[in-house]
Amino acid sequence: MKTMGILTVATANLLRHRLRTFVVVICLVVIITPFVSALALLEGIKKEALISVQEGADLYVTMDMYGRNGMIPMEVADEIKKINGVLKAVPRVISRIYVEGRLCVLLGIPLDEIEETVKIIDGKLPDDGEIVVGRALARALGLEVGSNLSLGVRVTAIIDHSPFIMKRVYRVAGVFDSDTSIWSSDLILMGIDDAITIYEMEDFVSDIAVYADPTKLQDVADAIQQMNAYFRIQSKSIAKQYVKRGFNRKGGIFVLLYTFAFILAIPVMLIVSGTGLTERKKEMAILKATGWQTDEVLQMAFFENTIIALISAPVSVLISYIWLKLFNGAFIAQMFIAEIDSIAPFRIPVQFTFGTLLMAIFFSLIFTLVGSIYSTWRTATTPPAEVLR
Amino acid sequence: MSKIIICEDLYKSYPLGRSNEVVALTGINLSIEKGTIALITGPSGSGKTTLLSILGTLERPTKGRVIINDRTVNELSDAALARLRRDTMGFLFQDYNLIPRLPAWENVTYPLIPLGVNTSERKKRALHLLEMLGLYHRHTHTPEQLSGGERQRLSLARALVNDPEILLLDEPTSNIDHKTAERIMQLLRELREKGKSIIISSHDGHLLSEADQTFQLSGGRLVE
Ligand SMILES: Nc1ncnc2c1ncn2[C@@H]1O[C@H](COP(=O)(O)OP(=O)(O)OP(=O)(O)O)[C@@H](O)[C@H]1O
Ligand SMILES: [Mg+2]
Repeated sequence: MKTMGILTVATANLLRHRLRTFVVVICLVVIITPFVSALALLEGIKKEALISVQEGADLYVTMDMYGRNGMIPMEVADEIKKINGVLKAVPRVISRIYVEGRLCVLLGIPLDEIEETVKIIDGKLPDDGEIVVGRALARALGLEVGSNLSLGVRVTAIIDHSPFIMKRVYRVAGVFDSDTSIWSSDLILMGIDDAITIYEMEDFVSDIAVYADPTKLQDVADAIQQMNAYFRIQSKSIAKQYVKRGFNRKGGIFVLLYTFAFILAIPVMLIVSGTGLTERKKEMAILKATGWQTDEVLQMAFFENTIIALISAPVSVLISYIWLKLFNGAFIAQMFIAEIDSIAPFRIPVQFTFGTLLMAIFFSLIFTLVGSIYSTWRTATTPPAEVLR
Repeated sequence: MSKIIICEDLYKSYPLGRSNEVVALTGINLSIEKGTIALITGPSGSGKTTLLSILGTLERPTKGRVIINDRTVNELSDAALARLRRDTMGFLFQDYNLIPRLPAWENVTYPLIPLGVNTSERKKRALHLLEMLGLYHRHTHTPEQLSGGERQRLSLARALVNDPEILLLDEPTSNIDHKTAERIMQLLRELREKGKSIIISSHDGHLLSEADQTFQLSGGRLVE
């Protein structure tokens, strides 16, 4: 009953000092929102990286072409399959294309691989002249099974500095679902034969994805390298490191900036909590004079801070959610994902968990407490007459 | 008759800067009987408010002892003093010290919160007191919306709400017309009948006839 009473007083205090409450909440939201966004992004990227690494092959084989990754003959896949320890070798044709201003990845792989790589939730596997698209892309472009999609698949000539692009119309055979948003939300899949025809690659493919028995991975890599000195082999662990390095380096900068912001935030919170301090001090002294104990006054102040934190944290999470989901994390995602500009060309991976909200509440509370604890404690322990004079 | 409050050789000085100080009270010895109305008079600046806040444990004396209900309060911790105020005292401040922008009835109820009284009971008691003091029609108003005299009565209602054994009233009738003042004095007489001890400070002498005991302050000293 007493606690309820103190809680009521705390609420009434926040309402009476509306301006102060408002300013403190705004300040907290400004401090906490980037933090929440960072958490959600890091969670998202971590999950993404895990999924993609799990789904990805163990080795990717290409041909060295003046130091870059070059096309590799498709029949190499059959040779690789014969190596002891190889579970699967999948030839792939990969190309970036723009579809209605959206950067997409066009991937051609054998039909049975399509079946294994993605889960078709609507329609069927593609035949010649057909594609399957991810759900997000289908939704964005208004596609459904049976729709036609015109793709500018290949630059055939450059005339007056403008590319002359060959277009082809494809029928959407199916729509697939996938959790990996960075790598497969804007993915368009087609049969490998069809892809080879479009790109006139004759019997070459972009790379060969190799799945191997993990205990024999090194032997497999060595064996492939022995087949041809010009083969370039990239392993999953390199890809994994790359993902990690990408966001750890950038994440590191962010953590640094953020630590700095946190340190700056403390005096800001002190100043902000100081608004209307004389009046608040007097009110606390009145309570003490009329029989409130020091710990009851402190409890009241704690409730006030908790309520403020409970308001600020969800507001921060909401703003962050809008920022990341609706505005695709413009200007913040770049700090975490390597090689993107201020506006990411794909749906950035974001993961809001209950933990995100808890962290937001926790830090809001820390900040309000840091801002007010000293003055509150001083006031609550000084003889009331001294404050009331 | 037993004593409710005894002061022995009380001094209070306020430091002013490094080496200066203001002496507000000097060598006060007094004892107040239980169940009486005691009046402390004296001109402005003579130390009435200072004495009352020391008796009300709102501040500590520089020197000397204060004994309330046979307990030497000098020795009590701040927490114990707060409990003493909560359980036995009601204080009317000279400048009211109401909580701004808080409805009158809620101002009255705040001292009851540490006692764990529930909301409806708190409201009932507050409205009853406001009714008695002729403020019922103003119970939803905030202190800013009240006149000086109304605020004074509101502060009195708050002093009375925990049904204290000792009432300390700093200038309780300074802002009120004669009729209202008489009504308040009637209320105080009734409280005295119930055995409460009432200590009033006033710079004028018109309450002299009401008092069972009178103490006259002048320049921080008691004069006979
Ligand atoms: N915090 C303080 N610091 C310095 N001097 C103080 C302080 N409080 C009171 N005094 C001084 O102590 C003396 C007594 O003050 P007090 O308020 O007790 O007088 P009072 O009798 O209540 O006067 P009034 O009738 O005007 O209310 C005054 O001279 C005042 O200036
Ligand atoms: Mg005074």
